[in-house]
Amino acid sequence: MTPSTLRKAALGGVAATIFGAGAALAHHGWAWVSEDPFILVGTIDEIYLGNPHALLRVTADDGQWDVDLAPPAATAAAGFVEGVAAIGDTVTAYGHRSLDPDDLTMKAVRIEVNGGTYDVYPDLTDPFDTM
Amino acid sequence: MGWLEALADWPVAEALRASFYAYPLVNVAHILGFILLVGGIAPVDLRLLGAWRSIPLTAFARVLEPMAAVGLVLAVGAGFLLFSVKPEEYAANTPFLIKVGLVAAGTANALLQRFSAGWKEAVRGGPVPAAVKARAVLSLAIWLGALTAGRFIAFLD
Repeated sequence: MTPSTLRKAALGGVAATIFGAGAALAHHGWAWVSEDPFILVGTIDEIYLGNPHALLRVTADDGQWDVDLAPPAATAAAGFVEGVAAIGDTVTAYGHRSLDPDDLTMKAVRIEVNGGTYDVYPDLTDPFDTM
Repeated sequence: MGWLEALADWPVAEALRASFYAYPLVNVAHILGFILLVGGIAPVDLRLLGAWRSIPLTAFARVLEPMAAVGLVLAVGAGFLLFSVKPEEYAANTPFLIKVGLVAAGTANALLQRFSAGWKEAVRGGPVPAAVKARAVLSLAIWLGALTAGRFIAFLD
């Protein structure tokens, strides 16, 4: 191999590692969550639809969780807007939880509430499509 | 705290909260502000500590002092707007509180430096006194610390 071919191969290898398995979550802001699919069911205590990103506070069996949704534009594009959910509603959140077992926080890619399904991160819902 | 609640109810804060474009743009202004601030102050500090000795300090000061000053005003102004979106939450965020403390300390240090007799001597071409160098080291440490604390706001409580 010539030096330049070797360099291209090396860069290709690095790129493959970065964009390879599990890299769906390798973008900005997801480093702190587990790659494993996670489902939370609970009742909504609070709904915040604003910047920097939308958020639900949900009481589940093991306590009160912070369920991070997407920034306002993406959350609204998914259909999750004012009025589709209310405090007290039961919600199922599909996504990925904090790697810290004591931290009751998760990032949701899909939420189900009141018969509606809202894919706030539609590119990341594949693991949950069979559920 | 009453004033935090009142700030959250400010119509500008409400508009930023709901916006798709304005909030990210205020973020841009904040980032541009601290780019100009840190990018302006760091070369001056390094010059005070002996870098680029062949270039007069006064040249650095003339270009970079206005840059840093504009940067500080922009960063603080945009920062206040960002803060208003979730005042109670940010006021309870440790990295945020550390950052505000560091920004205050950095500003005080910069003003002390700028109006010190040692600076005036150095800018006229004289030697850089030890006190001025000490404040330059402090400046680099403080602004790097503020930058770090600021980034951690999103990652830690």
